[in-house]
Amino acid sequence: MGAVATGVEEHDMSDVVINIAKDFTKSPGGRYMKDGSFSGELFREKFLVPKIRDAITQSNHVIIELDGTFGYASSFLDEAFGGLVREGYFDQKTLSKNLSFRATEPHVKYYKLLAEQFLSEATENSSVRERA
Amino acid sequence: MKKISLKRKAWIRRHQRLAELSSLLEKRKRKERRRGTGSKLVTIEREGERHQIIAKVSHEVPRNFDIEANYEETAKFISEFRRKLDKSLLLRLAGQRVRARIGSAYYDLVPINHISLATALMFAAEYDRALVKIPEWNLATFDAHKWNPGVRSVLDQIGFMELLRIQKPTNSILLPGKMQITPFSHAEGIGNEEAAKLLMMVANLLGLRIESIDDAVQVLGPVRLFDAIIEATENTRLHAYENVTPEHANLVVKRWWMTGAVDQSEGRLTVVIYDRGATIPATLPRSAHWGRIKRGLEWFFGGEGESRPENDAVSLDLAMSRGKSSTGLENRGKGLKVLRRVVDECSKGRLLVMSRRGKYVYESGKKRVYSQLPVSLEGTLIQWELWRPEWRSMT
Repeated sequence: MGAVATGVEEHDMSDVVINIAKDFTKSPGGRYMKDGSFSGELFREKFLVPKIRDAITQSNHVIIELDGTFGYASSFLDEAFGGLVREGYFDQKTLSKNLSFRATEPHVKYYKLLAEQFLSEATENSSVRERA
Repeated sequence: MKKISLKRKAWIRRHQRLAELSSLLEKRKRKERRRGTGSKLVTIEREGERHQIIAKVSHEVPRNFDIEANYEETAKFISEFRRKLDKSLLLRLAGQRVRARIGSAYYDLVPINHISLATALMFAAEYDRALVKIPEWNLATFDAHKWNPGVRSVLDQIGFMELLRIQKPTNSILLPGKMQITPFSHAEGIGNEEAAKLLMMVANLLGLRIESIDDAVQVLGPVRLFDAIIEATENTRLHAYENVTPEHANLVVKRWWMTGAVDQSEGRLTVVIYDRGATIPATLPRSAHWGRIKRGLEWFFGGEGESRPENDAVSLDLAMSRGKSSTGLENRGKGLKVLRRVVDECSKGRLLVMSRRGKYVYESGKKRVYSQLPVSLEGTLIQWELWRPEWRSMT
């Protein structure tokens, strides 16, 4: 496995674990950067997309750990994860193979279901951004 | 020289006395007119200094200053207070000097017997708005030393005195067995960071052993209060102030205000969020879920299914009960159901939402109740009262 960027824990040879509470914030915000700090858009643009790209290039599997935060707004989860597809960064097939969620606390399992739902229901739309 | 009879002399003396008395009365009346009826000597506190002036009480503050228990009187007072503040703000913003004169009117808070947490937040929000617009405005309190101790305690803890730059918040006037309140916070954006700070503070007030942010997450994360606060403040950010007219732009501060409180005797946690925006019922026609709500209104009232103040209770109920949508894009609307879920996560809980002329109450073990308010709230108020057994055991 290649070098792992700061903030991303090396789990085993094929998994890269991104813990939102440790690597991003314990108090995630809403949907867009313009509406406040630690938004889903910020997490996706500045953090999630680069990390997932790196991981995919190195044939790693990305696990998003949801435990450890105060909670999540549905708008954060939708923009962070649904936005990966809607904004045209990755397709459903790639993400279903390379991305999964982990929640151990009972109340966090709800957010896991929500994130999975947003991801599976997202479709690439006309507002696709050009890939970097 | 004609001799004046004794009878005539007595008559003259009597009339001279009457004339003197009349003159004295006239002088007193002129003085009264200058000071106003009900003028009295009051102690004002302004920027840490105390002075005595003669002022007139012209605005009655409700004795039971409680936006839920004494709705109509309190809402009318807040509304009138806002109008007067707006008038004063406009004059000051136009560069006119509005100086306090001898005999000028003031709001006497001495007769208040009780103030609720939500009302204190609403009252403080009005002053906060004024000070955002005119930071140099030297607001003052009148006879604060005579305020009811419970009322003084609530206003002091919530940050009212600090807002008026009179004193820093202190724990010294906390009353045993009464609420401990967090100073109010506010923001224009989504309140995730403010929510985290509030949860840390209330966790400490609950007597929980909080040594790190992880402890607070562990204890209060399962309540899902954080998500609900984000939802409420996100609604304010996205919808409440989006259609502010140019003539009102000078008077509007696009903020929400929030406070929390803990009643140690009951093991109860209360969180209140308030905004002065367009209200939930008024903004529903612009929401992604309007189609379903409109159909509900059509079914309920017949006609076109419009969002009118007289339909607000039903509109609010429809907004609170709608389910999740099936696509990600549609989820960009309001998820007000999240507000209710907090109650379900506690052994006992109560959610109160008041917006424009609608009131909605969702309480553990009871059927939801929605009703029309007699006058508009002119904003949105959301309040959770929550009980969990582990909180009580640690108090």
